[in-house]
Amino acid sequence: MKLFRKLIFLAVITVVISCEAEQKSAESESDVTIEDMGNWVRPASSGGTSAAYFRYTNSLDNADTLKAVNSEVAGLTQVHEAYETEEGMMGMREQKEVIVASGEEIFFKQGGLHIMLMSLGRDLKEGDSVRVDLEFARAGKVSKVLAVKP
Amino acid sequence: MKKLILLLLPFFVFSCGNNPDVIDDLGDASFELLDQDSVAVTFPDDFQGEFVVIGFIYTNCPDICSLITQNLVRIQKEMDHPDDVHFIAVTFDPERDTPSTLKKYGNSFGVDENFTFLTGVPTEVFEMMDSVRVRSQISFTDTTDDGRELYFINHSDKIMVLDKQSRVIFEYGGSQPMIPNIVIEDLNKVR
Repeated sequence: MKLFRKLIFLAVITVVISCEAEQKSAESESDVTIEDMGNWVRPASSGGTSAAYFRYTNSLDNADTLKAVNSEVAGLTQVHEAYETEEGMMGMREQKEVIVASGEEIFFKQGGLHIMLMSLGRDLKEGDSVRVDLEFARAGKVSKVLAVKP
Repeated sequence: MKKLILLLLPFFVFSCGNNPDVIDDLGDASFELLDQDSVAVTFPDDFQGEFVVIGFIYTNCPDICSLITQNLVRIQKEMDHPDDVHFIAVTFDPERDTPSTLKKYGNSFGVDENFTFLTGVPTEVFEMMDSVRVRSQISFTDTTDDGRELYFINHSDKIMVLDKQSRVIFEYGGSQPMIPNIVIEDLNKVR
């Protein structure tokens, strides 16, 4: 009977440990950073919507504000942020201004802040390049030329 | 001792999700939809006998929905295109996401065999989504300089796995970067 109790105890401990190991594995994987944080634009068809991703560093001595974005390939260009609604759904909302502290680097990245290129005037295919113009309050106009890639 | 082993065996076999609970049973459901080649598809009937990994997207959502599509593509690729698992992406936006639009979208992600995009009559598409508690609503509209109206959609962020009897057995947040590894691990437990 003692042996039986020991075996039951051993079994319970084994299962608890293995379940915890699975949970820890999932938690550590959630720390993985989003891929493709470089400079790129997603392929899309004429009339559709794409997004531009890149990094920008404010090298001025003062904070700066991104006031507007434009691109010749899009009928409408905006800064958007992906967010979770109160109902638990995912959505996007426009960010009218983005403040960048002195020396700060901001990422326009998948699942976060990104440049929306809407109502595209042409197909964006792998190998193409797209110019995005950023209008800052202090730095003025900054242009980024980004490769289209999947 | 043999009795003891027999007694303990089920304890190990049924622990930690090896025999997952059924979340939704779609065995009696039937939805008439269209694939990216405009071929009629009855969901889930046409996929019975296969495992199905299904996500929900719309093509004018280049950010979150692209992450969901990328995850579906990555699962298929990392599983080396298994014959017994079909991959599906259903649109939240059947008005704009026609079969040809979905086909172009799929091409930009390099999808090939065993990967189906589904659209159709809006009422049928949304009934299908309701049956698995996938929600969407138009969030905001905007107008381009040349007067074209655009709209965007808030939506569930979900990937699900159906077993060979069209029962939903796993659900995940669809856009998260760790999802492919977890889906593959779960699928390998039940296949």
